[in-house]
Amino acid sequence: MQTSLHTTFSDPDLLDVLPHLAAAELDELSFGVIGFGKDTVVQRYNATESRIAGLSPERVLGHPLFTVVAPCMNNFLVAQRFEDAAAAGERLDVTVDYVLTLRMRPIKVKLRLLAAADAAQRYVLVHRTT
Amino acid sequence: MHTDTATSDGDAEALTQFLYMAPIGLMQAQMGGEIDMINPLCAQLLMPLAPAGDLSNLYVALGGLVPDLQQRVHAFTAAHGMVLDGMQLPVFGPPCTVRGPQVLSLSLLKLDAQRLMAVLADVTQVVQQERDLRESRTWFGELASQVADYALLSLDHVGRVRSWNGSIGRLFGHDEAGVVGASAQLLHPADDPTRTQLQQHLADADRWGWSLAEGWRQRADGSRFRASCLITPLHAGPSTPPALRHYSLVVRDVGEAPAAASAMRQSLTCDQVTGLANRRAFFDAATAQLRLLAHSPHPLSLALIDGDQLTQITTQHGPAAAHAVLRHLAAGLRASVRASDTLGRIGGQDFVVLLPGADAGTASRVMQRLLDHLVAQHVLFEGQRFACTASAGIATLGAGTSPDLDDLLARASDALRSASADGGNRLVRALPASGQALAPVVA
Repeated sequence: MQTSLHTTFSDPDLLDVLPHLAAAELDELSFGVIGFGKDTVVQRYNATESRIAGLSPERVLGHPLFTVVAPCMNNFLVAQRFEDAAAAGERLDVTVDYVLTLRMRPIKVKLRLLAAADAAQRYVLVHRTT
Repeated sequence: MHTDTATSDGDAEALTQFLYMAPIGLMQAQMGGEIDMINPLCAQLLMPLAPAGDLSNLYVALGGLVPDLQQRVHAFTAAHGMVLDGMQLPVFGPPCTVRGPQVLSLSLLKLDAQRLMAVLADVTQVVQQERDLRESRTWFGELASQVADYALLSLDHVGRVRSWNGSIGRLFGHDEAGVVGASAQLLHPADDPTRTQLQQHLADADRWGWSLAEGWRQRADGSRFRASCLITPLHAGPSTPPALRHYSLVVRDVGEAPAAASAMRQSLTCDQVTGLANRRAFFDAATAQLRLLAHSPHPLSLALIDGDQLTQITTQHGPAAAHAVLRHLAAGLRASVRASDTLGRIGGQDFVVLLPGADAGTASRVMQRLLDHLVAQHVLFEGQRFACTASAGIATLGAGTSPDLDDLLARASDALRSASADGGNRLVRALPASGQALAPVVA
């Protein structure tokens, strides 16, 4: 509980913190969290993201992120960045301005792309700026 | 109540996901261009094009591709209808979109006085295919309009001519009304026995990848000429339903070359005594045929033929008599082989036949025809009758094996030796692997 109160979207240690948060703690965060693995299948999906996107977790967990869940991220700005980092065996931590079509409305957001060097733990974090 | 809400929530979610996953870009905007609803794929396609990735206004986002879009919408005065229908927009984006779409298709539907709906799709592949098709058509049209010695025809599944082009007019003298829809049989003289073999040729083309026939053809004015006719399938293969199979027919006029050129060609490629292809010409023709075969695996046979009495006749009656016998043998060969076979005289008394598509059985039948023909006739020379029989050695290559002319010749040669040694007037088939001759097949 303590951890999530102090955990913000721009927290520099986020990649180390997230894997250790329980589902309930993830749900407390003010930003959307989508966690996936090397195979791009969604493993974690918090309540904030569910609310923003209008999709219950059952529809999302276990499905490939870039082709089924968030096809709008399947481009050089997002999906390609994860692939490049994995290919180079590097850690990824970038924040990009983006427009998501959440519930078919163009919503300006900041996306933070996080990935461990081995690509086993990867996250897209969604922060609404409007 | 809870159940109703849950169901409608579930429906709403399903609809949301449906739109998220739609493989086509969908968007709804107000008349002023303000985007109310936009699905992910539409955003995907628009974002690289929109200035600063701003997707709040349709006219701004598409300003680079369709600068007058707003004017077009206002000029569309009907209450409802398609403002744009499948308009193709070439995309020239910054280098980072080099892997993105090159051509988009935009359709804009006016829903009512307040609302517009846009459909956006990536049609890059379709456009490329159309481009390739146009190029092929232009190329073929050029070809058909330039060639003078050939006619290029397209046939349907039963051999009817599908369309007309200039080459048909030039070679046959037929206009469009004269050939289109008619069977290619009309290109044969009425008394030509091969006229009815068209279906067989189409079937052969399907089976072997091509079918070549030489014979007489007839022009619109009734005049004839010798022609070489090649039929090849235009369709994809056995998977094409029979009614959709189309074929190309290339007809080459081989009989009207100016006398001098013809004589020159003859002296270079033909054996002077028999008129058959000489050794060089045969090897060239055979090599070309083998290259064709490399692409469609099917059996291949080669036969070597030797006149049984030639040595004796030369010794007893002189070379002129031997020449008469050689010409007799050549005539017998011409009468016995199939249209697709290649003939040649490659030695003092050796003839060779290349039989594409023939297995050992077929090749034996063809050679047996020759042997029977020779037995039935004698050679007349300076008042004397000569019996003339032949021996034949046949080598066959199985389907799928890489054709090797030298190997075929060597095995056929062994088989021929065996046939001659056993008394002549017989054919012997070489065994596939060891090259040893089989038991002879006698008439």
